[in-house]
Amino acid sequence: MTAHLVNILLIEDNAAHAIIIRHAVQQVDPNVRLFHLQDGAEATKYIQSKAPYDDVNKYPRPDVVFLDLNLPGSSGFMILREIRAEGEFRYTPVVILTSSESREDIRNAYKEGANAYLVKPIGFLAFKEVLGTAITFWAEHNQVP
Amino acid sequence: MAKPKPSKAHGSPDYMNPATLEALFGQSAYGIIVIDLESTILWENQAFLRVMGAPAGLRESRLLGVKMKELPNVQGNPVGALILRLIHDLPERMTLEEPFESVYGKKMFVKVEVHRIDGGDGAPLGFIGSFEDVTIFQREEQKIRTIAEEFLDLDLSTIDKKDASTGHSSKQERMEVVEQLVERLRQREQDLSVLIHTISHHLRTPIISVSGLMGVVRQAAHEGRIDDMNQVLSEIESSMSRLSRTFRSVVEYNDFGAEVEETTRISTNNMIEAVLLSLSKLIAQHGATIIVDPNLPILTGHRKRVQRMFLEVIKNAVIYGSPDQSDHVIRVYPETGEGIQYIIVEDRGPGIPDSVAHHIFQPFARSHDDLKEDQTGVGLALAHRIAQAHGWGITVELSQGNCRIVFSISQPNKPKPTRDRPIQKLQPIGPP
Repeated sequence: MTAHLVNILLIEDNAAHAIIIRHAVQQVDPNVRLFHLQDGAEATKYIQSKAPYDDVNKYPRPDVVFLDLNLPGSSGFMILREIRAEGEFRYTPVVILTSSESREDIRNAYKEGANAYLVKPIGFLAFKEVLGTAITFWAEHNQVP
Repeated sequence: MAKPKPSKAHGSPDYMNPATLEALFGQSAYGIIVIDLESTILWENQAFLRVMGAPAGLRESRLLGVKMKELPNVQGNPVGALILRLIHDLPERMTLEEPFESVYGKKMFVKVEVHRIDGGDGAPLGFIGSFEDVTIFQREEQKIRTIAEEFLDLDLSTIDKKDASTGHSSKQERMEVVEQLVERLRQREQDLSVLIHTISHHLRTPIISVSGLMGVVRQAAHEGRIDDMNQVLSEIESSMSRLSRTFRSVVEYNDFGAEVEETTRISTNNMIEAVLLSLSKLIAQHGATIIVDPNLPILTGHRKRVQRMFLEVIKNAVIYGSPDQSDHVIRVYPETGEGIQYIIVEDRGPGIPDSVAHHIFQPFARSHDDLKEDQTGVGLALAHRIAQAHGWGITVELSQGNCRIVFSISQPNKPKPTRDRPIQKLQPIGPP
């Protein structure tokens, strides 16, 4: 469990996967605040602090972004590019969390600036383990400018 | 054993001596003959009889040599003509590679190389010829061409130039064909890899959902949160349903692409009528108007698969066509051009997002949430597979406000696949 409050932005279109991640995160670390967005357009607004996400206190800059690759409206890669183009988010750790095991997706993710690429595991316990490890590393131990 | 290279120098083997020839070429894989200036065959090895297609049991070919001289059809064939030219021109060396019919009626492709034999004083004595049966090689080349043209849809016209002297494509041209084949196969392999990853992803997604949600529902049950349990169980049902549909689609995608063996004549108008009947509920839901030209052609194909092909394309137009019901018009009509019959399914909506248009006929081209109405993302890919299995072309043509799926059909069935129609410059659709 992290020693301080951690804000995580989850960009995930699959409702079932979002439920699993939310429950897993809650059990792994009660100090985590999860902000869930379902599509690329919403994610862009959040990143650019546009309404309805213009209140920084309500929608803070995340410590870690969990990003799915298949999103309606735009691909996860486009969101990743936008995140890296936005000065405030340039160093924010972005963890790709996807069902895709494609080598091309993995290569493109790192090319576009992802910090890690995690394949969604099978089973709730595995989800807890993967997410717990990722949160601890990227939000607790990792240092960003 | 090496092919003969007679020398004019003193001390070279006596090519007119049968004992010397037997020792040199008796066991050669090449057919070897020695003929004199009267075109009489003085000596030959057994391989010559085999290469020339002589019947089994014929022990020597003096008779064959006589026949070659006597039969008009032999004199008219390339090998006979070569012998006559040898006698007439006395060249030092000649080669020939051409199909011909042997004296016994066997269709062959023989490569002939003939060297002049000179005596000690330099006067010509006769000729020694080596005959190589390259029929198998030519058949292999034909197989490559068949694969290239029919299965990989390669256009060989630019490299299929006949060499005037040999009568067939050059080695370099054949290599170009093979290189193109290799490149195309490499592309196929790459496409297959992408397909496997895509299918794997689409099957894995609901499995991740169900397995993860089982843990969530277990937790909810433990804590007595009934409402949460119901919500999660609904998600599990939904994921299982998606998984089942995806499995079925993958199997259909495989089965419907198999070679079409049984065909019947099909009235496209009657078939479209049946398709519209089965889609009537969906059409009503979307408020779509379907206008079918009464002069659609008669097709020859597999009835069940062709019906499915039209069903998938029309269903796609109904679901993804114009969201404005007053403008939700779908037209099905024929066109002809350059001996090819086209059947066009046209709607006024965006139909297919630009981002996926270039690979719309690949399975799962649309992402999960671009899919509507419980679609699995295999419909148009299925239509494409069915069209391909019939040797028909299928293309998508997009312009602002218009989407056309164009089937290119050759009637009656042509041996070669009909190529896709070149992309047309579209005009806006006028009032029906």
